[in-house]
Amino acid sequence: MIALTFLIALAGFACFGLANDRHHGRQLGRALTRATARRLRVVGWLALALAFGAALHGWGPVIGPIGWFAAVMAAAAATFLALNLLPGRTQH
Amino acid sequence: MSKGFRQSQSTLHTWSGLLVGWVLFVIFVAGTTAYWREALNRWARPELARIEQPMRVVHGAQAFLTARAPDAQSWFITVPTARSAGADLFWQPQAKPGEPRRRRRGVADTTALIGADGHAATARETRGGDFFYRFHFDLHYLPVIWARWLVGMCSMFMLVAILTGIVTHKKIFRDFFTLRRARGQRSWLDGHNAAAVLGLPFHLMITYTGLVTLMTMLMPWATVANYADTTKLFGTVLPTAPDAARTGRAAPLVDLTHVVRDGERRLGAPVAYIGVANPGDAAARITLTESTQARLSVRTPSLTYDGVTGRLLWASPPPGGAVVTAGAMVGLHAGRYADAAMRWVYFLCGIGGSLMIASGLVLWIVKRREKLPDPARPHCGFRLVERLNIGFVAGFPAAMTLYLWANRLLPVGTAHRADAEVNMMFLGWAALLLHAFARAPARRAWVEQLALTAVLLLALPLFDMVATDKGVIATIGARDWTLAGVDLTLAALGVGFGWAAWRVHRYTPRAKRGRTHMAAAARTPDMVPAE
Repeated sequence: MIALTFLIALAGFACFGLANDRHHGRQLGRALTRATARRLRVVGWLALALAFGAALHGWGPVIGPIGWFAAVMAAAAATFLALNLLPGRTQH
Repeated sequence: MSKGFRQSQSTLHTWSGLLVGWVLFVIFVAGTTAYWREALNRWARPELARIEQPMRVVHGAQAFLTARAPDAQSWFITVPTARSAGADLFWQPQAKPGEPRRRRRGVADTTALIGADGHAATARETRGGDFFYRFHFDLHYLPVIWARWLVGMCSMFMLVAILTGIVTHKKIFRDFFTLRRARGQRSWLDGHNAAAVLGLPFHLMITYTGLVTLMTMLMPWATVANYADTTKLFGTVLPTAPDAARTGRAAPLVDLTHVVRDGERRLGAPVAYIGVANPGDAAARITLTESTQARLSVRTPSLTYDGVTGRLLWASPPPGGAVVTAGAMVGLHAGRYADAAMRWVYFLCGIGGSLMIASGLVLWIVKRREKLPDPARPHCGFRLVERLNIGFVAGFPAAMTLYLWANRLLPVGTAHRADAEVNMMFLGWAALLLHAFARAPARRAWVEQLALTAVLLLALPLFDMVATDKGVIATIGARDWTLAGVDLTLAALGVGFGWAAWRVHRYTPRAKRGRTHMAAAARTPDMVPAE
């Protein structure tokens, strides 16, 4: 459940990252439309909410919220590094 | 928000950060290391076997104390876990009339360490990871009370710097995923922002809860206003069983392992400390305190038993809301509840915080270098900051590694060996600070100190493989992940410092803005962005 919390948060942050103009273009090789960006952000927030539920389930009501923050920070850092350091699909 | 407001916050951020940045960096790095305090305690004593049966050690501790300090006023035993080096013992001898009461803990002739086999361990004298833990709020060579005031004030500046930083770098949330590489000042700013925003919940939490740990010292007014005798506060906040007067009638102490087993059953959690008052007397009392691993608050419940019959006499009442709140904040800060995965998040967040402070300090220099009237002869404030940055950001980690080397290299028989290890660290650091000021240009000093740190870190696991039987191959073979983790982490940090040294070494400053557009051509290949 702890690993699952992280994976859901990671999926959420991947959505946030791809809702960014520059990263979207670099990773997917096409321009980001406003509608897509909005959809990605909504999915991202939903994933974070889902991860919160998973964290509560996995760690209990006291440690759960802390675990959620830990998973969210780890997911954000992983996404940040992946988006910036992995080679993109397109060459600008 | 008005421009004036943001400007004022920016100024406050810059100067509150710079003024105490070096102390904060040291506190952050030492505190981060302290998350592996127990692991380093074990690592620092490679001659000790891993604890497999904690109860065997407790049994040995009782036997040792019965022989060594049968008529002591009290005993304290730390119940070991698989992660700790052994059971730390401390006893308080009967006060002799006319002799002043001992006030300092840890006087050598009233402490001992019981190893995995239940006997007093013969290990090198060292403070291991405990030193980094104490150092991050007590500093060293300073009276503790001054040190804590200094650390408390620096933490307050830190809180100011974080809050004003959120206002100053207003784009941190919009530019969440932005890292513009190889663009000088922009890159430093992006790096500073990334380290700050990715760990923002941690940075806010650790600074605020750090202040909470010092709250009775920093803000004593509530105590002073309500309690004429401030020691009474602790009796109210942390109640203990009523004291039993010594009878003078001898009676053997019950087997502590039975009492601990009973206590663990009642608490539903492991026991961390055993206190025995009046051992060997008919009025002996045993107090068990629950481990902080089992709950967030560090104010854990305790049980008191009759030391002769082993009957439960007293259980601590459920703590009040204020005690749980403060205890939970301290627990959140120290991460004592954290399992391995959570501990790693704490550790990585601590590294993130250290990088945030370091990049902020460097940013101050980078921003001002371009505006210098004559870059060859900067003014003395600039030079001071530039050199202190080197001596702290690169020099302090090197000095910490020297402490670990002193642990390995100082002869076992050295007088005051544990102190000598610490002195080696500060001597090394003093030398590195001198080097930082003396070596020109600054870039050479950076490269040399970063490279030195890398070499010292990378060589430690190799030394362990050759000179001890706890090399990384042996510890992985024994599935001893605690010790293997220390060596592998040291190596990983060494690679990190090596990479930093390489980057600074290869860095080619861009030509001054406005003069030429050939800057891109001057970049070395590895500085070209990947896009």
